[in-house]
Amino acid sequence: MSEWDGISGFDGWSGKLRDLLKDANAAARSEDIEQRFEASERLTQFVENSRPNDEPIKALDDIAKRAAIGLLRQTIDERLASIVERNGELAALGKKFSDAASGARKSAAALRLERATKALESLNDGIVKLKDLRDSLKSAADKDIAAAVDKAMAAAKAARALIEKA
Amino acid sequence: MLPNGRCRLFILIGVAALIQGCATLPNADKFADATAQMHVAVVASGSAVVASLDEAGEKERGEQLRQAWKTTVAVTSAMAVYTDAVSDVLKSGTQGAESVRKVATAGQTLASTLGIALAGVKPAVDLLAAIGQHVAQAAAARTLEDVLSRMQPAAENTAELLGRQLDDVETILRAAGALSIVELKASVSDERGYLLSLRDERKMHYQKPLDDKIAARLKQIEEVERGVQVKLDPVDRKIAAVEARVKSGRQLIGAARQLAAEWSVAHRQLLAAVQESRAVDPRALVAAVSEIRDLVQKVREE
Repeated sequence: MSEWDGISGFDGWSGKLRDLLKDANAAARSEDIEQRFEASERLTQFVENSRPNDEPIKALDDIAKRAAIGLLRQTIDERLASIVERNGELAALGKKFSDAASGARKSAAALRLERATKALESLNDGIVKLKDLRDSLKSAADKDIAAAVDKAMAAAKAARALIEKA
Repeated sequence: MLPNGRCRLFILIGVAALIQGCATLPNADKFADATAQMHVAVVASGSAVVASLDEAGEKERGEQLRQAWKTTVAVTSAMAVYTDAVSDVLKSGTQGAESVRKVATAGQTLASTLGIALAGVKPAVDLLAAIGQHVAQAAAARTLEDVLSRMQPAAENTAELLGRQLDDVETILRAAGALSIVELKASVSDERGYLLSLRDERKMHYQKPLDDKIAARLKQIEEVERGVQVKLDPVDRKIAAVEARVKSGRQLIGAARQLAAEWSVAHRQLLAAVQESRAVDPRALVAAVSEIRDLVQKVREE
């Protein structure tokens, strides 16, 4: 036997709705989510079960439906507010993870000796270009430039030695 | 006074032997994969709930959730970047020899370009590479121990907050589903009420002795019930679809919550593994990841 059996007439159904609304009010004030879902479910069942569907009963159905919807919307709004409330703390934690990731990436790059490898590779490119330039300088007028290139190459050698020591 | 070449070689061998004591680093690939999947699950959970709110006609609340959920998504995204970086440190630690060889090769190329002869450079590079391997492992372990221990409180705090966010979003999903069902049920309350009245009448007739008049009326009731049920069937199917979506959404959210809880445990295990130089057992995370892949697919298909 369900809770809807034996109810009849407007007085019977309106009495039942009064009980349900009392429970719904208690559920709305409670933090127990299951109590709220149960109250809204029973109000929905009231809409389905109340009969005959004449105008007075339909008016009761409308009240029950609006109460069920109100209870559910209140639950959604409260949960949305909780989610937003935690966002500040979560954003701060997200920044911590980002900062830690950034630091870890730098450490990983250092472990892979990326800076030393890149420096040596780019230095090597520079030396090759300087050698090409030195070889292309033939005339006496180019003597000064050739001497400057030699100096640059010597500086590159010194830089290489420093990088290797680093 | 600087040691001569032979002495330097012995010192290097000695250093290599000392560092050899450092054990292997754990593999964090599974941990990084699990974090990426947790991010996917959090994104999919939020989208599923927003879609449910939209479906229930609560577009404004759906938009509010869409905006509010961005921070949660950003956190799991930062966690995924973080675990990738942790994994990168571990990989760099195990690639020490390769790194030393890269530097040595670049140096050798430079030397030969400059016409500098580097006699005996090959054995020296091999030795340096061997040392580099162990030095890199030890440095990676130190870096990781520092990062992981510093981040452990944040990992635990985040896992707890994510769990609460997921709890709330699950409640919103249930409420959105219930809202849709209230509207669907109310849309056919006349038909449902009529069907119930017919059932009452049928019950009443069953209590009387059967005569031709009652038999005819029962037949008529049966036909009318079938006719009304035809009108109810499409709505019942819609209600069943809403219930199925809520069910699979809740499964996905539950799996994401489980993964968030296991994530902080896995973070602690990784820290312990680095400290104790042992491997990590990623079975719990791997199982959760495969479950999440299936659930995300299911939610997207519905």
